[in-house]
Amino acid sequence: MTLLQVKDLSVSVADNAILKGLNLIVNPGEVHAIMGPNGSGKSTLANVLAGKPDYQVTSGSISLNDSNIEDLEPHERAHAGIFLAFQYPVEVPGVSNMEFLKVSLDCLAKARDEPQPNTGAFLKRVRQIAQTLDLNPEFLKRGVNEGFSGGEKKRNEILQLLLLEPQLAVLDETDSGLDIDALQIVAQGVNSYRNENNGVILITHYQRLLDYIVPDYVHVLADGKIVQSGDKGLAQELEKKGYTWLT
Amino acid sequence: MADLALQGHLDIPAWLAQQHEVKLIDFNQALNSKSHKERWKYTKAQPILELLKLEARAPQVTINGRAVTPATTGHGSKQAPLLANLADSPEAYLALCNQNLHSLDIEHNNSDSAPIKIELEHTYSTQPLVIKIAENTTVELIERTSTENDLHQTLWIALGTGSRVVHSRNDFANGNRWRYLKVDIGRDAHYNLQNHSTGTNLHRQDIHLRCTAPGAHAQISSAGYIPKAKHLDQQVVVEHIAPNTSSQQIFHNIAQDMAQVTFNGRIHIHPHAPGTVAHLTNKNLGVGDSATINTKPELEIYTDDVICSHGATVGQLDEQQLFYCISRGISPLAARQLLSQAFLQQCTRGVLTEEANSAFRKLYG
Repeated sequence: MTLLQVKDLSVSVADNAILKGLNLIVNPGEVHAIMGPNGSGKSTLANVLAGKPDYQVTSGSISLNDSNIEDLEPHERAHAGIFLAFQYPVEVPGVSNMEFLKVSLDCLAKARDEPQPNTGAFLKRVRQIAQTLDLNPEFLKRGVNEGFSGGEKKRNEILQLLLLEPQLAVLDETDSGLDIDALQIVAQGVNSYRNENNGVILITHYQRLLDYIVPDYVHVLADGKIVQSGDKGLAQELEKKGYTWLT
Repeated sequence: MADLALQGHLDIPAWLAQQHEVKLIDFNQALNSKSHKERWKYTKAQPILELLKLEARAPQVTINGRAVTPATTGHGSKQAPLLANLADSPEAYLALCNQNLHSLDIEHNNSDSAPIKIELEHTYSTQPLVIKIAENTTVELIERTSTENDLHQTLWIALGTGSRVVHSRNDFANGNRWRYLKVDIGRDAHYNLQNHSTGTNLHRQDIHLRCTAPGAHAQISSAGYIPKAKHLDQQVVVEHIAPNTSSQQIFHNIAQDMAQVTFNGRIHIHPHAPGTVAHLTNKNLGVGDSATINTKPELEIYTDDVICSHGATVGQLDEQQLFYCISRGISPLAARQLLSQAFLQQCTRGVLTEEANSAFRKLYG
């Protein structure tokens, strides 16, 4: 079964066509890196997969596990197994990280008709993940992303990824704003998430991240379409040549 | 004196009538003042005046768990807070000055001991209560209003030098309300009000704090949820009368469909009060259609060398925050409740926080 199939997808935002017939297939166990110049539609792809309002699908289709998800609301897409790690994680003052995680997990369990996680086991698991990501446990008591540095916000996204265990992780420039140490920690987190049942779409500008998270496929997105696909070697070539030879 | 607007609605007490040459002039000035008209711009005075006619009884008070009977200072007393209310709240003055006043003198506690715990349970309209806190005394004042009966209530607190008062009050019952609170804060004294409430058909809160001596500090955190078609009107004045005083106020309110919320907050810095530091924030969320939110933060400054800020916002739940929550599998309704709760929790404080948060959660539905 295909995990994700995006077929001839065209998307507009405020009547501006951003994606123009994009095709992408992600199978379970695969990591796909999406690279491309600014304004090529990378973040639009991430947002439209997560169901962000204001993104209008004008043609084409998106399927997850062979089921069409275009008509699903964002929370229903999360229930179906999609997770978006935000390029700019949002601050939610007044909602503690721990509470946010618990509510999210409870909602996912309820939607999937699974038992709600035991609170003790939940707390233990969250603290364990925080430790692996070098996040101070005090962060868990603070408002979601409130007053976090850029690197802490990105690590917090990975904490959510590891706890919620979605089927498809869409990481939108998770490496931006990270120093080398933080980049390695985030990469370790993503690598520990990977298994034969899930998939990753890794949106990035830089080949550096791909030294730590080795992709199965690299795609170049330009002017709303995938114009080139290859293996990790393509990212190295892009690092040397830039994008102009493809656009 | 023919234009004394309230004269037909309220009985003027005998002692006042004897001196009406002076007092009625004062009344007229007060009733026609700009600030008075502003206070009643969005809430009609008449229903409040009707509320003030409700029979009032002595307040129910416990101190450190033991019921106490406040001293009765008599009828028509010229003591504070009523005389001081004339210019600020002439209708309250007129209505309440013929009530019995009650007073509590709270003596100094050993600084090593726990705060003196005063609890007020409001189940009916109460006659004005004056609480005088002795020097260097620490008090925890807890007020709960659990009745759905309509009620009015007047409380005046005077903080002696170096005293500390943390005043928590919850009002989540569905009755009409007029609550008048006046606090005089003495030298180096700190007063902290934690105010949590819901809207009702008619809910008026008048809060008047005065920093009367150097080092006085006033703090208010207030959270309100005004359900569908309900009302909350908060009239707040913080006066800085002496040099080197400070205040910090934050009010958050959420208005449901067709709810009506009014916030009128004024920081008044008198002449000869340099070194004042005063901040006021009022944030409002409209979470339904046709909610009406009127907010007016004001600064009235008559001296130099002060640090002041005031601001107000009226908005809706943040779309980015909503999407962030929903993208994690939280339903739109639960996300709205979570964000509403977060908005109010920024202003819920103190020993009644859990009760308040629980009451708010029920209101979110």
